[in-house]
Amino acid sequence: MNAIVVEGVSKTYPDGFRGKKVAVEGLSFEVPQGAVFGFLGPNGAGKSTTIKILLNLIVPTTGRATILDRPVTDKAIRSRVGYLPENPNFYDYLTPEELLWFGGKTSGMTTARIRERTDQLLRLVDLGHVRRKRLRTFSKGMLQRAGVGLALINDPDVVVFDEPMSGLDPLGRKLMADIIRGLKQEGKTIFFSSHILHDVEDLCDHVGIMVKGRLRRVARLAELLSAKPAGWKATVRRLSDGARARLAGLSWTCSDRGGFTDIQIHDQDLGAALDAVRDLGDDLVEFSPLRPTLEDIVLQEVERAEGGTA
Amino acid sequence: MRNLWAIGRITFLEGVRSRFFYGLFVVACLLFSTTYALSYLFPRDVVKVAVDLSLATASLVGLILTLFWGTESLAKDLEKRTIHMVLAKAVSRSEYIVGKFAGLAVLIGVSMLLLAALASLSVWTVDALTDDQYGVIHWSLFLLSLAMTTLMYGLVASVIFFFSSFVSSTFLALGLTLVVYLIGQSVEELRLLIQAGADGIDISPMLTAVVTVAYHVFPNLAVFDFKAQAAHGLPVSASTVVWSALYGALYTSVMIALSAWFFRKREFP
Repeated sequence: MNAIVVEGVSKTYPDGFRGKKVAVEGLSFEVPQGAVFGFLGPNGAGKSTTIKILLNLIVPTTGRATILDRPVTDKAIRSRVGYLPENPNFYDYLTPEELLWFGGKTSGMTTARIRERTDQLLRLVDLGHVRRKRLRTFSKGMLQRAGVGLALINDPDVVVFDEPMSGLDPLGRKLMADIIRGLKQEGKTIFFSSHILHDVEDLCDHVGIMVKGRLRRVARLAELLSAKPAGWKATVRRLSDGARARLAGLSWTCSDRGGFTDIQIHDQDLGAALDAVRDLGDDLVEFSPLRPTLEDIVLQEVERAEGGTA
Repeated sequence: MRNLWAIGRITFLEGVRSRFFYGLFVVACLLFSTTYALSYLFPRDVVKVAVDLSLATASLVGLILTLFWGTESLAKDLEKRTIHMVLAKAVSRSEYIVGKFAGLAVLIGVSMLLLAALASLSVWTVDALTDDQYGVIHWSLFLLSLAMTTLMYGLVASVIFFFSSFVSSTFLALGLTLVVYLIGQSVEELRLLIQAGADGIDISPMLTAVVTVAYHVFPNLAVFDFKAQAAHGLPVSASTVVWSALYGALYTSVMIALSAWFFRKREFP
């Protein structure tokens, strides 16, 4: 069963007197239940617009979107959804406890359940010690964590995070990544947009790549990253004369990087390259296939879109 | 109802804890404390002037609070995009508007109660220190005037909500509300002036039509003004009070219903 279904969604805004600006166009994708779906793309690609359509903050010009088989216009479905906006802004004079109370009440939770979840979540996001402090005194990272608490107060089945890692320090990013992993283990569906592709590679099992308002690619991450290797990379401490002699005549390139040497070997020379590598002994640091990374794939899609070949 | 309570509560808490609230109350205390000195500038009408001044001070501070909070509570939510986190919950747009207004109305009510206490204290002090021959306080009229002012500010707040529900700028919503407030204060006088006519002055049918339309469209805020009656102890009929209160409640409800209607169509990119 799919947790999120988007069918033929387009959104245009009036631009000037007669013009129109296309924010997203012909968007169709599905997010299976229990999946972690990374929504990627450069700024202005239409990621946030799509997220806002899913939360009924924006009405699509054409098409329809459903969450857990209910149209996103049905307010009741939002009691099963958690949302963390990009750069969350809350009420300055409320405390995290009051913020979570608000989230719980509007999701139809009982006071006892709200109290129980508030204790759990404030511990999870490490805000237990400031639970009665005003939000206006919080740093960006703390606000982000309070936002995570608010998004999860109702124990949602579907979680939508808009750029959850942006502006966080390494510790904050780790905490966020751990939370997403924990939610996945609980079987929740997570839909999140991000610029930080390393995190997406780490956390997602499905990705969608948006460029210029159109969804260029949707696939399982494993499919995207399991293309036949274009070559091989060996990282060595020192390239011995013996190894250099074995590599002679093969198609290879090498570059120095902070005391290490990276050698790139073409795929057709793999056999001979392996012999050379065997000679390296302890000097070999790493030997891995050269496959396009997620970053390469995203950049490729951006270039294709800009070249108008999409 | 659960959603209205949740939204109303956070709106009230956000307002009552703001620095602006406390700052303005300090200013109000200072203004009320001058009542005694200023009243004695009119030795024959000390108590009347004290009542008038106190009511005017409470009205002024109440108006500033209403305009500030009215624009803050809705327009700031839109500007700072706090509304995203509210509407991402199982809350309808109408519930958001009504809940916000309920919280704001309670906030205005509590503020006016505090202002009424300060105003009462200031006139009571003047009265206690003044001989009865210089006037007496008509407490029921005094409190009635404050209650009707509170109702009027509820109506003004609903007008701010109405404009905020479809204009995108906080200042524009505030500006338009101020225009409505000023028209509302004088529309009845204008209509009476035109109805009475004047010797040698021709009033065009067009002007008469404009004033008549304005009278029916803009809120007639003069119906909430009982300051003169409170200061001079003039009689006020129960029906006048009831009709004024009903008028206020009806106009406010229409404004909030229209705000909710506009808001339902609004998008939050």
